[in-house]
Amino acid sequence: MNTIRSVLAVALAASCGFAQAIDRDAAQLELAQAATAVQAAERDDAMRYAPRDLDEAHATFEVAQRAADAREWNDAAYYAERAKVNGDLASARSRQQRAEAATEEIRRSVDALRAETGGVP
Amino acid sequence: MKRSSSMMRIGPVRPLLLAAAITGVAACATPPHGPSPEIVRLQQEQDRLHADPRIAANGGVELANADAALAALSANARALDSRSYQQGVYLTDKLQQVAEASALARDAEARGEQLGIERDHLGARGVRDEMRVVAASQDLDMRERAPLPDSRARLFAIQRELVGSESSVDERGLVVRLADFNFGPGETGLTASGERSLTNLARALDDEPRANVSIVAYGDRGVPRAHARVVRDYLDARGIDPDRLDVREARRDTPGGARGDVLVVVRE
Repeated sequence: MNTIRSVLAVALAASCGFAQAIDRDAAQLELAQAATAVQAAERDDAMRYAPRDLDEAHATFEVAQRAADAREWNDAAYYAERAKVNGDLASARSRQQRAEAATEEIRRSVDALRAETGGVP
Repeated sequence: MKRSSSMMRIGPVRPLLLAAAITGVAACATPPHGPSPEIVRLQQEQDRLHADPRIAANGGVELANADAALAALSANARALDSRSYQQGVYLTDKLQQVAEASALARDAEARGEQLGIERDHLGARGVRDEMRVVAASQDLDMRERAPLPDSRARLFAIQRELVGSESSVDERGLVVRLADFNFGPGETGLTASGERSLTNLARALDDEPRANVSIVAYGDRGVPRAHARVVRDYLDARGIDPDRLDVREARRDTPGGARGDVLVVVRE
């Protein structure tokens, strides 16, 4: 939802004809949300199930962090938004992979039981 | 004259400058008609997500987020500077991927749940079939020739033999309820329905030599206790070892039975 708000905020700011300057607090908030999303993806075992998405989340977060270190708050917020959505994507992909693997496992045991009980596989 | 020559000097240049300026302003004010290729691609992808029933049904808030992002981007694309536009495209693309992955995860979880139910069902059917095979072979010793399912599954197997009886399996074991109307003045002290229940039970107990039976009388000492003795005698007469049979009287506050009931509790 924060990403949506950001997209809308950027769009509206631009449509009103002024560039939106992002201050330190706003950038730090984006960074904190990105860090939370990346950590959640790590907890969701994205390293195993969605490594590419997690790598992209780490990479964009590092760029955001470097921009914040250089006090480039616009860049920090910009890349933090990307890192957050990449973290969310890594979590979602991880959940998808785990669910599909578990379902496949159950399907195999159901097929075996069907065969044992004379049912149609 | 001087002014005129000056006008003449810049004359051919000025219209060109004006035209260029107007063209530039016009180009900014009226961008090309129709959405950009990126937005067309994102819109097609969003349409694909909505057309996929697995995603449309399970997209939830993630799909709504992607919808909102695409709508905001489409509405404001022409007003955004290049960097903001690229960010909007990037984020919308990612949000669509989040929506797809989340929806497919939910779809897989739902299918897994259904398959899990089917697996349990098929597993129970397998146990039932196994018990039928055992019962059909008179000389088959279950303990030696077939791996025994757990005790609860065996109680369920006994229960399935008790057609027409009121029974349940709970933490006490397999509980068969015999009410007043199961007892009568006949030779066995049972009505036809009571006799049928106990005949089926005796047959099932024959196949379960490890099962013990508690016969619990509820209510006044007189009639229910007499009914409990009728049950014990009937099972005894059907070949169930009396050591496996235990007659008890329920305390007044014992839950599980109504006044006048006799509960036959089978345990292992």
